[in-house]
Amino acid sequence: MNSFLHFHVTVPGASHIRKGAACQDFSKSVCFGDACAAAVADGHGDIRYFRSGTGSRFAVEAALKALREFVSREESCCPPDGMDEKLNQLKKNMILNWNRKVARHLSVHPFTPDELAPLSENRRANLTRGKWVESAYGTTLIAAAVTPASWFGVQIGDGDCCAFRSDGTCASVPKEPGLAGNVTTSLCEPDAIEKFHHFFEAGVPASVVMSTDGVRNSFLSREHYRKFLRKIVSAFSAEPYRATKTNLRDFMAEMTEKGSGDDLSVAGMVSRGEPPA
Amino acid sequence: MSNPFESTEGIAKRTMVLFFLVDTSGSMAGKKIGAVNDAIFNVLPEIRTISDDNADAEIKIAALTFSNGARWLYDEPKPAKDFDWPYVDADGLTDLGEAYRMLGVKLSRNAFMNDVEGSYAPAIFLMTDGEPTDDYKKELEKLKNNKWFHVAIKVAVAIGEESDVNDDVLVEFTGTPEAVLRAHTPEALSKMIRLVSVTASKIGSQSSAVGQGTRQEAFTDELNKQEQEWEPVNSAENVDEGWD
Repeated sequence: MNSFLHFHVTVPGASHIRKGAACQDFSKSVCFGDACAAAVADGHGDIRYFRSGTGSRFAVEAALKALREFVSREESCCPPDGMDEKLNQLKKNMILNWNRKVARHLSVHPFTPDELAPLSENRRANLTRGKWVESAYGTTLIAAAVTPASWFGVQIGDGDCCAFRSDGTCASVPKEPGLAGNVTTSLCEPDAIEKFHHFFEAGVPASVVMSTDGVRNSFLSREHYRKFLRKIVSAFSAEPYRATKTNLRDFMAEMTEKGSGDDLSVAGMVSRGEPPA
Repeated sequence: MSNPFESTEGIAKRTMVLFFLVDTSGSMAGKKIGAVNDAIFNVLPEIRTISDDNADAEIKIAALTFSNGARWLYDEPKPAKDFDWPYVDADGLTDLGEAYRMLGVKLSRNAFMNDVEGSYAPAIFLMTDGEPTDDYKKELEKLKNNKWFHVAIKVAVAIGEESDVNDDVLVEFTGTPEAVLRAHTPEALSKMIRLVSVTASKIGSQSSAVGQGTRQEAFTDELNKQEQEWEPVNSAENVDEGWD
């Protein structure tokens, strides 16, 4: 049995439900061999990113595929030396996988007049000419994996990814500096690799938890948000898995109503060993 | 079995702050300041409705007037439902630089942007009728390094005739000539204040935008679409019924 349990929960945003809009978030978690991985993605929504619900699903699938290949290639005891270069290549593979999925989807499902009609003339002309077509699928992406000897995470766009160590301290995947007021970076940007950040740490954390920005945006402060994450970890450590997942999903459905109104996704890995600090 | 997550604390809605920067210099006296007072007073119910109907974000308003120096009307942004516009008078110089300086101080997590973690970028609406009388460029350069200003929706209304207002000053503020409007008449000013306030409130509280400039782009696109519907009010035909 893998030493970590994994989970993922996505609920549609209260505002999206009210407007009859599709959920733009996607999440998934999986174990392969000794390692576990999870990913969350948040499509940008609104008329300019009209296929971002599909884009977010592609992002998670692309990330987990790349992670599976990466983990199977690397030895379980990853030396810190050279990890930056390896993780840069991992991110490039994620972008490549995503672009391929987008291209394949677009070739089978060309943009329709209804999709293009609400756009500005400039944007419509660009998409029709095949320029920056990825923007229609625009999404953020956060993904992380734990192995028997380490953990690492990657992130482009808003959202959060934290690892809680056994001593209770926390390490986070860095974000693009200067993001404020709901502005984000995206997988669809031509220079996405420049804005795609990573974090690596030798040693096994007690847990790794990630969320799309709708979760943190539902809290008054970072402290309140972190307490919520710790509560999730504690619940999965101590309570039956199915019941915990159901409780979390039910609560997140309430949380979007009282909080950000946005789609909410939480995913992660929790050690089956010692309870967290 | 009870849900262990029900005891989670600190959940709240996001906010969007709409900033009014209003020129109350001596040249605004009379019809101009009267039109501004009426227009802002009259648009508040609509902003309150937008805020109430927007279940995802609460709209708050902060207003700063500038003439000899500058001052905030309230110590903090007020929820739209609690914001009252106290009719203001016009007298003095045009200390736009001081307005920029004070705005920069408040565009901070430690000041007016201290609400829920992921609150929306602000919308900043500048209304002026003349040339600044202080060193505004220095303060504007500092403001441009402020991350909240950088992501904000910015719009300026030039109140008066072309000869009175230096459009370059306003374009420097907004970053694009498309976000600089000109009000030739009190009626046009009133409609512009309504248009800008309503559009900024709606666009400003949308979900994530990619890239720093795209919310501004979405705003000016929407503004252009809406402007076409009432363009005749602002046309040269009505100049004779203008500000004198």
